[in-house]
Amino acid sequence: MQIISLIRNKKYRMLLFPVIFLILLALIAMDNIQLASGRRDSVIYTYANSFLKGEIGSGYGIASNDKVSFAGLEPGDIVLGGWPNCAYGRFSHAGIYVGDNMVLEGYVDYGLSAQELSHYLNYSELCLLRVEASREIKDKAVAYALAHQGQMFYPVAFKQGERYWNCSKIIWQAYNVQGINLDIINDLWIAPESFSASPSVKILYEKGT
Amino acid sequence: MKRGLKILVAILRIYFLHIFAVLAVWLGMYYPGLDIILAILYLILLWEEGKHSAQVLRDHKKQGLVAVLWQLPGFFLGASVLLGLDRLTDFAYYFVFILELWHTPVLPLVSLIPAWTIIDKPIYYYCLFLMVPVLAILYYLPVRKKVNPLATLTSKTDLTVMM
Repeated sequence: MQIISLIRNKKYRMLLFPVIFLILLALIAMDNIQLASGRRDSVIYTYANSFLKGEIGSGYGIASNDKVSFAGLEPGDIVLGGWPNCAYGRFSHAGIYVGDNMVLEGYVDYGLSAQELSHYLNYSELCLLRVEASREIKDKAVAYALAHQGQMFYPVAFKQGERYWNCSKIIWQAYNVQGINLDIINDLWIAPESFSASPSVKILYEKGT
Repeated sequence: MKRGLKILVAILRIYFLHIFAVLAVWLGMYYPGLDIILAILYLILLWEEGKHSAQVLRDHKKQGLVAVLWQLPGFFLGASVLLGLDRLTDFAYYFVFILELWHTPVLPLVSLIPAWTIIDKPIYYYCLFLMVPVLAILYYLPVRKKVNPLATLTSKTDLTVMM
């Protein structure tokens, strides 16, 4: 009853969302207090640092035309691509290789979808990673990722839940449900950079800075 | 209060509600399920705010104007993407990005729609464009209900004047 009168009160209803926002902000901050102790590798620190340098997006670069062979990739491998000046680290995009020269990745206008692997040739920063796990686990991770095709891409999706995704979260969650956590610092968000820092992966190929 | 000022206050109120709903619903996504409750709360508050504006403005054209001005960012971003105007800039990808962030208060409800794709695009992508008129209409709709003039009076003095 009190909530209904709050909603109907023209003054109080304007304060509802600001109050909810502040409460949630405090709860989430307390839940992630470990990140406040100078984690320079956390996504939020990287974002803040980049923002101060005037870098706010996924970066821009001139398309690279290097000849890179993807022949050795296996389903379950992770592909990272990046442009200079990316706000959230060296890599701005990630995809999980699903076989047949296709990667499962996330875009705002396509949601989670399978795309041609070849577009990673355009990135000036490129890294191919292999998760150290059995073939069975990798196949399950690929199946998990493919089962979520068409679902919503949301750039600032938290790691919790299975209704909002970004390119990194789907890969992290696909392995996380198999018992492999690719985020060593238990960050608030997951970024492509997290995978290259994980001890559970091996670098197959790397180019760029 | 002057008419122009009433419209300005109505616009500021709806922007204030929307921007804090964006922030609150986004943080609500940290606790899956809470985001859906907050999205429903947002729609209820939007409806109530529409009713409030209908009583204050007492003119469907002004109410419509406020609705359009409030959804102008969404309309501008959506139209730019649909007409391809975003590609004339160096920030084409960010238009639809920002459009999605603008619609954050209703995304939890959109996320419940099955993940079907139509012409290579997921259903939620089309919803980003549909939400602009849908939200504007939701805010505008209460003006269509006939408001009892006596219900808008707040003091005994008003009643005395009427008699």
